[in-house]
Amino acid sequence: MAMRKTYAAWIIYFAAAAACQLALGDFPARIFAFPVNAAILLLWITALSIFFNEKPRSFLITLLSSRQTTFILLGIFTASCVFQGLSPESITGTWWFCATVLALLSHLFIVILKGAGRIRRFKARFMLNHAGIFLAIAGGFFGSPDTYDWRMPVSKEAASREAIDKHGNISYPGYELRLESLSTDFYDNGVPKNYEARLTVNSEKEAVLKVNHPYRLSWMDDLYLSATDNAGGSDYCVVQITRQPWKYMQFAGILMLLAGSMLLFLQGAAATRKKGGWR
Amino acid sequence: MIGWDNFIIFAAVSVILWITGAICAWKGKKPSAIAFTACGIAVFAIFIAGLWISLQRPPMRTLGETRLWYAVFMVVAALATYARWEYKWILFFSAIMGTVFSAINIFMPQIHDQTLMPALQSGWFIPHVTVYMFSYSLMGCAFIIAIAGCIQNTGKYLETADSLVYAGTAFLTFGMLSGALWAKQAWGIYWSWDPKETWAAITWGIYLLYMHARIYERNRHAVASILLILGFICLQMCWWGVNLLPAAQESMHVYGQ
Repeated sequence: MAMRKTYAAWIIYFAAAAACQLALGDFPARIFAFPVNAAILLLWITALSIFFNEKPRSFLITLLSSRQTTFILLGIFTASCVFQGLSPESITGTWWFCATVLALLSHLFIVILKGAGRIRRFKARFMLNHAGIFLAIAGGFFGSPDTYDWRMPVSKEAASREAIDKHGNISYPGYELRLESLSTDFYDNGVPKNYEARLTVNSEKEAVLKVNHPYRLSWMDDLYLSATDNAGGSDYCVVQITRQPWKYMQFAGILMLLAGSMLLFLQGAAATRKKGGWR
Repeated sequence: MIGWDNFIIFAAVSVILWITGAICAWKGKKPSAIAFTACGIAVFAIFIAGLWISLQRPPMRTLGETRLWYAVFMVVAALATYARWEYKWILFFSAIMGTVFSAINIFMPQIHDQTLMPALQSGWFIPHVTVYMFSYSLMGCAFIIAIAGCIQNTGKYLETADSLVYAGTAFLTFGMLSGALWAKQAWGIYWSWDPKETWAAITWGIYLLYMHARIYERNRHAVASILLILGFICLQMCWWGVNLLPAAQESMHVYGQ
């Protein structure tokens, strides 16, 4: 494909994203909550796979597998991150950023399909790194509408059921928590060394929360000790509740990427040099 | 017991040994260069180990403490590069960088107490920080090589830079992912676009661009060198520059200066 066509296609794509941002405001992520996000993910990868197998020379597949696309998307993603890094405002909910991530994921998926069908040296490294990035980013991107982060003030006096999100909205996660005890260790100079809270969940299960030691309440809910009274012996703490049903996909991606990075170190740059390229 | 009061002695001895090693390398005396530099590393490492014991925690909490690791890892990475590729100038640059980072710790003393806040009491703390510092030092060597290539207007050093960047990116990836796994344990989410995380992603993205550029555009040496320089600048931004940004006031990565 001519380089000019590739650039033109991506300019139109990102211009459309910018136009959506101007016309509609931020990307309405919550309307893509489960099962819409799962259905879209399945349809999207199925459609890309069919296109890749049936129409490998089509404009879309040629565009998504071109090396210019690698540079354009990596460059735009990095530039978007620079903007995010310098700005106090979050841009991760904008149409522009969502379009960038979706394009990057589409490109990665086609590159993985292309790489999987080829006989090559160091294929394991290639597959682990690319599939790992794909799963880690896709888990975060598609899982974002189903992700919740609440704070629940919990006391000894009465069981708590109401949780508050970062916008101040009240939710009911579906269980009640009650504080049994709270303790704080201190260094000699009075700086807190460790916190520990003992809670009961639904008056049945006991949960012990410490910093860096969350409590796994269910396959998608984890409890964290968010804040305590430093004086210790208090009868009040704040519990953070995270609901992340897609975290397993991200975790799988992280593990694959860790394995891929080990191979990157062990096999080094010489692997690429001898082949004169990966594709 | 070894503490910050003794740092100037250990730093001075290390710097003298590193500079002696660099002079030997310049004169082509490879065994002496390796021996002197390794002795300098050992002296510096003894100080870090002693500080670790006296503080009763890993010395990785403050910027000043991470500078210790960077200074020593920088010289380790340069020594490995010299032993493998025999660039006689690389030990000179690494000695300068090690000296600068040691001097900053001497002239800008910061708070170095024994406390380690609860969030840092994790099994991920030591691997996350040391791996990051080691990757920074490898990228620092790649940066020196890019500057040397730009000054001499040649791309002949880029194959060495490739090796350093591949190893550095592997460690950078491990550092970033270990941070994500730790963040899940401590804050409930793998990635939250905190300023530090954002700059880590930027740095990673630039080194990925470099690696892809070297695969597809092998003869564009200037582009590769610019990416190495940009990557190093972003890496410094991620390490300490991010603390200067207004957004850093709300960062979850602020543990003390």
